[in-house]
Amino acid sequence: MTSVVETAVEAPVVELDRVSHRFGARGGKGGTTAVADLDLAVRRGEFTTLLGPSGCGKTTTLRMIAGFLQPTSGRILLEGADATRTPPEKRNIGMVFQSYALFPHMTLRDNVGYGLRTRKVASAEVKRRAGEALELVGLAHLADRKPAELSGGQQQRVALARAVAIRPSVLLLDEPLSNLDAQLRVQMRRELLRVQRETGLTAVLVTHDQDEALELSDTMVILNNGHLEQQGAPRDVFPRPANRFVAEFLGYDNFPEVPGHGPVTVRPEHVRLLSGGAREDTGETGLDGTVGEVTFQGSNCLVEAVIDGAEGPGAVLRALHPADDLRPGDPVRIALPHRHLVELPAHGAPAHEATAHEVAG
Amino acid sequence: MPSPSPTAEAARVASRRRLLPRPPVTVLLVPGLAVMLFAFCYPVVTTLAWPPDGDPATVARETGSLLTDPYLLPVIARTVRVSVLTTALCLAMGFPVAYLISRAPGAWPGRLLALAIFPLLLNTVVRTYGWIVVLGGNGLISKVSEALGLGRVQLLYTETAIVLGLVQLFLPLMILSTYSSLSQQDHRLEDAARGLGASPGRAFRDVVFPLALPGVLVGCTLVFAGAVTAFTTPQLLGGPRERLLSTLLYSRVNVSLDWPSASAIALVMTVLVLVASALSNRLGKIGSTTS
Repeated sequence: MTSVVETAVEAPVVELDRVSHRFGARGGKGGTTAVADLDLAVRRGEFTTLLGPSGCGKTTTLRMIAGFLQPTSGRILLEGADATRTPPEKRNIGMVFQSYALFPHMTLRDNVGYGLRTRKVASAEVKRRAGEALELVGLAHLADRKPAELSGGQQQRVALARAVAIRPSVLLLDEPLSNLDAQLRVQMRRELLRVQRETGLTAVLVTHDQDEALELSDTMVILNNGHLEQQGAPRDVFPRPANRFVAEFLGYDNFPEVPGHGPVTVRPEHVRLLSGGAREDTGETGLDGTVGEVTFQGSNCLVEAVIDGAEGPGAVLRALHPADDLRPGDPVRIALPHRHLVELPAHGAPAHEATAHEVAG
Repeated sequence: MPSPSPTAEAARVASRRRLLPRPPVTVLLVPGLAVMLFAFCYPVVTTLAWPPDGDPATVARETGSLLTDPYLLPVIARTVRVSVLTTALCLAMGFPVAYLISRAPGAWPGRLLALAIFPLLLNTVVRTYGWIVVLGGNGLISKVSEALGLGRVQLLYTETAIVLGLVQLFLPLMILSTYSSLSQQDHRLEDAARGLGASPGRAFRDVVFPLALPGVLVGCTLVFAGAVTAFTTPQLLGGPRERLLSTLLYSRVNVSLDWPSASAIALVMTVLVLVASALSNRLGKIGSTTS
């Protein structure tokens, strides 16, 4: 456990101290708030993702870390030093853009070597390190091509190699996989993780894709309307969403009213539907219902069950049912295992404040 | 009446198609080519080689004497100087404007561009007369200079006046051409260069400008060609003393009625424009292969 203590003592690679950004603000007043009082610490070698729907402030946050945007208030520390007003070219960041932003008039080698040339590295060394970085992403054989001759996935690799080649203090990734098709995206995710592990780089990724965040992150930071909703390791966050927003975002579809409980949520794969007079086990709450819509999904069926006598949005439960034996109108017994019910704060509670403290502790 | 069966209908369409084969797409070029041939190529060749009371031999003789005439050589030199200066100034002023317009947020690029090219909607003569009011002996500049105790200045009928007039005339053209290149650039490219350690100046030199080069070259060629051939502005602002090839050509045709000499001047102007265009092509090729 000594290593944990050591990393805790070392200053975070990136630290945001009550950072806010308001677009169209004059003198710190007015405008639209994109990021509000955000605290964040990214530790060395960690993979952090900023996750949230569009407009949640995740890209604004990344662009502030990169130095392309200035916070309206608050401080940004890089490697423990205040970098709030440092221009991007002096921050030693490696940024990968959603549009790749490869220089179209340069070969791959010149693209990847660009950050070394600006650092006045000797040309033989530039060539060697650019070659190494291209090797890392498996494109060394295309070093003399221009970006337009490559596929989207290859361009993405070059963008990654270019950011990695400068050995940045932090690798910043702005939705780098969102322009790729689904299959390639999953493949590139692995590739991204491999490169990050091999180089030992600290990485901050912006994404709206929860699967991407869950798979890649050491720490995931969930943002909504510029506020931090929840932060933590995927293994901690996923089973215990701190509030309704996080729950919905992570695919908790059900917010049933369960007798004897406050607001709770449960994932469709944890709702059991029993037919033919079967009853719930101990440790489960049972409710009578009627089958609504059934959607066949291959190995499962997504079944909507309406709780008898209930009304409103809480009356419908979505269950991932492992057999195709239910039809609309069938009576059904809905079993909710208590250990899978996640308690949520009462409605109207300012969730982000509560979670911010929880995370700090 | 029985409706024709689908196969019969298809056969009928097919046979009609065979009877009347679809013309090749190149047919669409015919009207444009015809206009070019009769309204451009024919008069140009006639003017350059077979002027009234002349033939290719006389034009060649006139061109020879033009290129050795101690009175005419300075006119050629002045034309080149004024045109190069006009092009350089248009680029120096137009590029930053085009850059800022291309980086403006939201609906602003469209609005600002409309504003920048608005002068194109005004007649050249009107725009040029504006300069007479400003530059003349009783003009604004002269009055300000007199009030400051520096005496009257006569800028009108100088080479400076011609350059000022031409720059104002062609600036919108330069803005438009460079904007078209700059607006196609992914703005993130500049961010990418900055993120990789390039200062704003270096990012401009390495990325923004090289990628805008096609538009820059088009703008320069257009402005240079326009400046070489412009007539109204040098005529009104240069007067009879500061002759350019275009104004000299005019006086040869309308005053001295010396058609072969006018043809020779036109030939020199054409060569100047062609050389500029070739140079720009060459630079474009170099720009796209190096770096």
